Amino acid sequence: MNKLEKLFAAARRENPPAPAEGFEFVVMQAIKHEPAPRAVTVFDQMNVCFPRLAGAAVVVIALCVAGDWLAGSAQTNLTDGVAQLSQQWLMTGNGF
Amino acid sequence: MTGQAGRNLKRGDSAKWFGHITDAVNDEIQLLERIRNGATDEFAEIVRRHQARVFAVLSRYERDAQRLEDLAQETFVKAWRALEQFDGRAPFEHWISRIAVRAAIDHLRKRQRVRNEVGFDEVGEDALDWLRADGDEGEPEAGAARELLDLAMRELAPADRLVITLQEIEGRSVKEIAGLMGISGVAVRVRALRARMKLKSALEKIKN
Repeated sequence: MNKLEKLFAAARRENPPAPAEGFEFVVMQAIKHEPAPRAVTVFDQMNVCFPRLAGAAVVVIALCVAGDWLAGSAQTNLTDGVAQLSQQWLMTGNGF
Repeated sequence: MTGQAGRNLKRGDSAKWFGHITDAVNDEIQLLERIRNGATDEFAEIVRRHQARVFAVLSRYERDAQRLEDLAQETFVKAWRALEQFDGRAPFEHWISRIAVRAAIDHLRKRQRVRNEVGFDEVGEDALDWLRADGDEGEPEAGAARELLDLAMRELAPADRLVITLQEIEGRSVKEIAGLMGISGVAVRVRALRARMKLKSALEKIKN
């Protein structure tokens, strides 16, 4: 038996310290300042499982919304867009 | 005749023991249900029932009495916060032990920063004499062994320290450790092997 094994064997014999008298009241004092436990939602579980994925999804959604809004503000409506395109086509000499 | 009677008695005792266990588990499930339904004060009973186990787990990683109590308190507060997640598939004691182990690893990670600030002065002369003795000196005192192991374990990564403590001092199986730490059995074996090698070299360093 080498020294390491002897140390493990001796450490196993050590009695763990007993909790102080009234320890449960100390814990209850701490708990009183805590909000009551609430039911776990699907979103909580997803947040635990995919915190980075959820963050990335939010960024992608925000970028898409911002891109859509910018594209929408540059081009007033579909009719104007079609008129502009047809005008450009006529100007190039492809028209009748 | 006597043997048969003995066997019957043993069977009876075992049924009685199993009955007591079942009653205790059912009682605890009912207690937890009442707490979930708003009887907050009854959580004190949960603390009373499991505090010895939690202290036993945590005392392997923290020797200072005040810090140990803080850690135990943190464990119970975490259990309180996560009480809705306890599904009753495993005994409550296993569940809270897992929370204690996670609290211990967080604690070890925080304490790792100051591990070099303390040194040989924390190890008693008896412990050092035992380590330096070359003959067949037998096992050291439990306290001396803890001092030496604590010092040597500062060389380990927190997760490695946790694995070797659970395996060698608490006597848990690879499967149990894997479940407690949320890693594979192979990872447990690898960490245990690495921890042993580092511990041996740390002890050599302390010795010289």
